[in-house]
Amino acid sequence: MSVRLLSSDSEDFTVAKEVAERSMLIKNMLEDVGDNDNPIPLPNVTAKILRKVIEWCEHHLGDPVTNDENERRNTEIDEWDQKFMEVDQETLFDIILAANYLDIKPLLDVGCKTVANMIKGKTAEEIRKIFNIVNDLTPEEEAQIRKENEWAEDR
Amino acid sequence: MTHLVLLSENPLNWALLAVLAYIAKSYAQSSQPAKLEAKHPPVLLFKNYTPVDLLPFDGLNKEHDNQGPYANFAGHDASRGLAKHSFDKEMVCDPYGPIDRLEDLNADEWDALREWEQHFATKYLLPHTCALNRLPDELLLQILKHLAVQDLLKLTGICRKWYHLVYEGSLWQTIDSQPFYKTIPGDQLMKMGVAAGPFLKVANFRGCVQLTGYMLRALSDYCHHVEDLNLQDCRGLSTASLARFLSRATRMRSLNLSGLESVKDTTLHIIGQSQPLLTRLNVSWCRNITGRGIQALLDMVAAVLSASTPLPGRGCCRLQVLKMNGCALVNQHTLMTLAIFLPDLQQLSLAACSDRPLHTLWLDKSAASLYTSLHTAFDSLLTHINLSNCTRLSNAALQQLVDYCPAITHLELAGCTYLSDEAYMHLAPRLPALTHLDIEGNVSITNQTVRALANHTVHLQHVCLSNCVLINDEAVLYLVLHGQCRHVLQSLELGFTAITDHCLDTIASVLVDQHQQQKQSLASAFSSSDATLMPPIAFHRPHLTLEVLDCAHVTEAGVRKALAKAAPFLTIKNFYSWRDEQRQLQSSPSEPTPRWHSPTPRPRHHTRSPQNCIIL
Repeated sequence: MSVRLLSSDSEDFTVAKEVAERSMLIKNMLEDVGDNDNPIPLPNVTAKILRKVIEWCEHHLGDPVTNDENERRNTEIDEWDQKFMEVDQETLFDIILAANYLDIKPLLDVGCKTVANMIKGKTAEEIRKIFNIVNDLTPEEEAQIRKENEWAEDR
Repeated sequence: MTHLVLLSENPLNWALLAVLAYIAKSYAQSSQPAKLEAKHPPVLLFKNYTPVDLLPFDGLNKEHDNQGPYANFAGHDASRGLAKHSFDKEMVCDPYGPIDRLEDLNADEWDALREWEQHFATKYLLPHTCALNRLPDELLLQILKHLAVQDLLKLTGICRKWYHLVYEGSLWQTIDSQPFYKTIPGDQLMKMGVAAGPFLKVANFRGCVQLTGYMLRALSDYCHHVEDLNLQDCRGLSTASLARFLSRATRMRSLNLSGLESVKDTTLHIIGQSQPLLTRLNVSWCRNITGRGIQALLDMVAAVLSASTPLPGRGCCRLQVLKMNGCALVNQHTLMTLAIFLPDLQQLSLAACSDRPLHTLWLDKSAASLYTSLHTAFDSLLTHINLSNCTRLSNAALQQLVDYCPAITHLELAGCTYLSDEAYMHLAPRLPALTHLDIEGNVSITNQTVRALANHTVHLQHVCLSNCVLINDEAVLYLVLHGQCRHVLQSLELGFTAITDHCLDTIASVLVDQHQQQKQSLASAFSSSDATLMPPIAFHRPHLTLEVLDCAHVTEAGVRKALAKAAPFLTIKNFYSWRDEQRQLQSSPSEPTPRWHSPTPRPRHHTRSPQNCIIL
């Protein structure tokens, strides 16, 4: 049983149904429309990103579905996922957006954890540099914030 | 004279003189310390530029306009030119036309362009869009959820947007101050709490002495939905601020106020009035509460339960865990009301609650019959009971307790010196579920008690017999080697008992034997393909920990011998091992001591299986 997916740039993908159903969005759609041969249009996902997402879903096909809220402040990522997420920032954020749109929670989590790990342990200046964020705080505000958070500096 | 002539005649000399003068001058200047004021880089406001916006920056209106090779790019989108290494006019597209999508570039040209981009990124702040901003706030919050508090707060100093994101309430449903409770200033704690507002569900401020009554009062205006609050040892709080918080946040399920002097009997009264959902209450070691406060709380429960019309929002009738260790003046009447009106009660800690003789601690049978119509199941749910240091607890009282509470799994009776073998021989066969037993310092019990336990209690995992001076090798060996619980026993505390090296040695030998048998039986189970020839089910013997501090007849040599024999299956805690640990710590000072500053949250205090704790 396979499913056809159509990326925003009109590329046609054929994937196994179980793989596609890692996406709750697609799963619900399939339940609604039943079996038919028309491709499912995914207007928010480009072919490049869809290819990545499918790769991830195929690798994680057998994973048990967990809804563990305790995972929250944990940023451990398994090795395969780490490799998988070694992409440029644009692609990484595109994957996160796609995972959110397609409703693939574990992939969204891995993406968010990857970004969190890029932030962890860095100084404000380093983080601005990494993500190219422009500092729009006035010197007074910045000094004030730095003073407030002094206690958190050395652990 | 000749020198001057030479000087004037040879132009080279003039040149050398000039160089000399220049060096002297730069020396003179550099000797003045350069005083540069610390300056903040100019604030750049974020802005998007379209090709048309860029046009004014083409450099043409400047007076000293030197038309260098890059002049064509000024004020224009230079991507194509940089990619193709060309300064040609054709490389610059019309700023009023569509944006050049660069779709026809080949791989090499893309590489070249990226190299240029990197080059400029290290040189300038790029005013183009931060890629992260493409993510909607809800996804940014998802990312932030994975960060520890310290990292989160650091993000507030990045830019305005992130400042507001970090203090978004939904990020602060849980505030666990344990990793940083020593360093965080009180107003920062308050700021987090206020930011969390109604989102705050779990707040652990344990040990935050910097949290003042004023701050708690402020929090009471914002955090109405707290369900789990730990204020243990927050000594800065006042009685009034506690009262205010408790009467406003009325959805509390777990409340820990232990060690607070500002908790008074009136506080308990307020809890009774305003916390209908409360299941766990810990007011241990609050010096200023008495049995009267507990009674007030229970009276409210009783009033709610026996009221003809419902009293919504009152009475904590669902209490499952009640800890009031060290509470003075708890009397029999209070205990009786407790048993009757808190039918869900599972854990009760009354350590050091009374030094008066509790002859009939639990229910008097005649009193019980009065209330059986109210609650028929009141006697069956209690699993954890702590009566340590209720020094005058009598045999009769304990026997009665045991009769009413057959489900007990954890029983602490440390320091109850009046108890004798008689009580434990009554107890052992009647508490089949017992897993944890602490009878430290029951000085009059003998080997008989241990034998009774060995013969009846099947699930016993942790036993503390420290300071039971009459206990010797015979009973301990019987318990470990022949007891019903020998397959599950994990720890045995034997400090200051009469045991000897022989006991340790025998236990070590037996442990080794058992493990070998286990291995063999497993091996034969795997080798025999015939299922009918399976050996009896091999049990998995847990690791055994013995504590033998201050045992007069245990020597260092004896401990080392036993450990040498059975080290993988056996830990022996004694003075020597403690000394070894100290030595190890000293020899590796680089090893951080993770006890208080570990970034991982420490286990919650109300896990279901508390360890044996010794309360002195």
